[in-house]
Amino acid sequence: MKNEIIPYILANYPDLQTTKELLIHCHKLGIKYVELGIPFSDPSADGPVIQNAATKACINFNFDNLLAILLDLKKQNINLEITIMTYANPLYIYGISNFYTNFSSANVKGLLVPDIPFEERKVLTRKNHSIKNVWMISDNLPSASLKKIVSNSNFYLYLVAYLGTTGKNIQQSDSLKSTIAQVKKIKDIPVAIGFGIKDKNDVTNILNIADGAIIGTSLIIELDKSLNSAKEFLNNIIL
Amino acid sequence: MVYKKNYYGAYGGQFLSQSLMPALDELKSAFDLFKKNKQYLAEYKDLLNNYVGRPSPLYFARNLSKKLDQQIFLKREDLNHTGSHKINNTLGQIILAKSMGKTRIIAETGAGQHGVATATAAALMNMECVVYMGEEDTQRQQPNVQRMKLLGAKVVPVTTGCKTLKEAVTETFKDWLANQKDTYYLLGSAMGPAPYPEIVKYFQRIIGQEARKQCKKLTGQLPDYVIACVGGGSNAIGIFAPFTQDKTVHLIGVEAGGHSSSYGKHCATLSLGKPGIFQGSYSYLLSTETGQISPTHSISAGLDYPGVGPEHSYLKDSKRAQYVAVSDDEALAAFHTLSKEEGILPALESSHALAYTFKLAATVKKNSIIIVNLSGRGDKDLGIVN
Ligand SMILES: Cc1ncc(COP(=O)(O)O)c(C=O)c1O
Repeated sequence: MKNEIIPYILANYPDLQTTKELLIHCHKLGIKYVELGIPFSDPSADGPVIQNAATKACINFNFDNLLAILLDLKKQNINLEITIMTYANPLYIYGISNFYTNFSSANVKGLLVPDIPFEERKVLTRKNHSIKNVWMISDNLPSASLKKIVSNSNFYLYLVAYLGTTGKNIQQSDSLKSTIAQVKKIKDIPVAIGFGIKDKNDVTNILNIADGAIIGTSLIIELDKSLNSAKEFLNNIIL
Repeated sequence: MVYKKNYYGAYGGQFLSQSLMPALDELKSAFDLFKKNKQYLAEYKDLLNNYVGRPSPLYFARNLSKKLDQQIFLKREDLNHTGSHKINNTLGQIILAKSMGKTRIIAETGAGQHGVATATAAALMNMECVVYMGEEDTQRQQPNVQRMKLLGAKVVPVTTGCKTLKEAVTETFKDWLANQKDTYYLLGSAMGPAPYPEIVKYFQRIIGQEARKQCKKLTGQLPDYVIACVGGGSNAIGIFAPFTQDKTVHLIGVEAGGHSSSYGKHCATLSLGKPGIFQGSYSYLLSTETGQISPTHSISAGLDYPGVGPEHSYLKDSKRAQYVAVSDDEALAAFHTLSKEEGILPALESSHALAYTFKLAATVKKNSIIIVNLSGRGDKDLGIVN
């Protein structure tokens, strides 16, 4: 991963057909990595925009319908590298082994669970599957924890831009830079930054210091206008 | 002890964002120091005795006992300053917060009793206080909103989701995430991520310690039954904890059965839920087949919550305690019975424990010794029962 724009797409918002079209559009634009969010009724890491969207999208969501769409995209040779972002309970209830088995055959490469910290990783541990855990880090972690997390990562790390929920304003900060430097000293592994990245300008700034920029809330705000606005928004950022 | 590395058997843990792990570590270290610090412990004890009015009486309910042909004792947490057991915990935690150098206190509240107890402790210690409360709860527990404001706290109505306790908890965690440097999250029940369930139990076990002594003194025996209502589980774990090694003592937790056992109509987490991961811990939970958190209902705001503290899940699975549910109507009837029979207006939360006691009394050996934890007083509920 290098210089990558990573859209956060909330599955089933407003419906799965839209999710599918957005994924196809990402592929057309040459986007390689996507973070695909599973809607949850009580999203503790999200600000009002994603929270509102998720409370609607979670009502008739189920993993198997999403799986069907991902398998269909794969059949069409639309091969994005997908990281599933889900809160712990939907995943736990679906079954963690189930998830690994079913979703690894559908281009899902990573799993990110904002309410399962590295300390509780046992819950996610299963043998024999290809999906990798993506851990979240932040600039307030003691260096010993950072070291453990980084050395145990083998896909990329998700660095949250600030302490708080999604959708606030990102601040350019030296501490982000120094956290990335610390990571790279431990292991040569990509670092993507998420939370508060709103527009092309933010993306450019972030890609100066990190390998990936995750963009979520703004995309949902555009999607609230129309699917076309969301597509155009992505076009503008990529092109 | 069952408690090992943040878990009670399979239940517990620290299921929160990675960014809050340093705050939980800091809290755990401070709590370990607190327990060894004579000065903090003395300050806590002094406040319990002279500010709260402990020990609270274990009252032999003479009219009920006669009527039911049992020996019914009420542990009178309703007589505490601020009107419930919640103050035992907030005074302990506020000393802990001060020991950590925190200047700002945040809390969630359902019925408003924990909010009032937190606002009280913060006023006493001269600290800034913000309380998150579901908008629906601000309406149905209006007197407590007024009390918090008079005590100098800022009350933030939460308008997401069901607008009740679980949303208030989520918003408080979000505040803590952003402000962990100077802010202490004073959690109100024996739930959430480790070490909160241990901290809250530590400060609430005074209820059971006193009750055990008082019962022996009054009857020469241990009780046959100890009964408490269960929301998050703090008054229940507080009275259960000192009895868990006494194998003859039956421990019974009473949940809110609401209108019925169908989806969204109750909050009988242990009776009707199954294990899941939510708001910091792995514990019994009410969630849908796709893992979304279920809406809940109870006449009592303090029990209106889809989760429960992890130690109760352990006590249930290990069968050391038994958990049952009573309906809104049964709790209301018990409210009126206690008011008329004994001249005590119980909180609607505590009325659940009473309602089950009345049922139990009809089925067990006559003259059994039954302790009911009267966790709070009912003044806050007049708008609902009228
Ligand atoms: C009087 C009273 N009892 C019980 C409860 C339930 O909480 P817990 O289960 O933590 O004791 C509350 C909560 O607000 C309360 O106000």
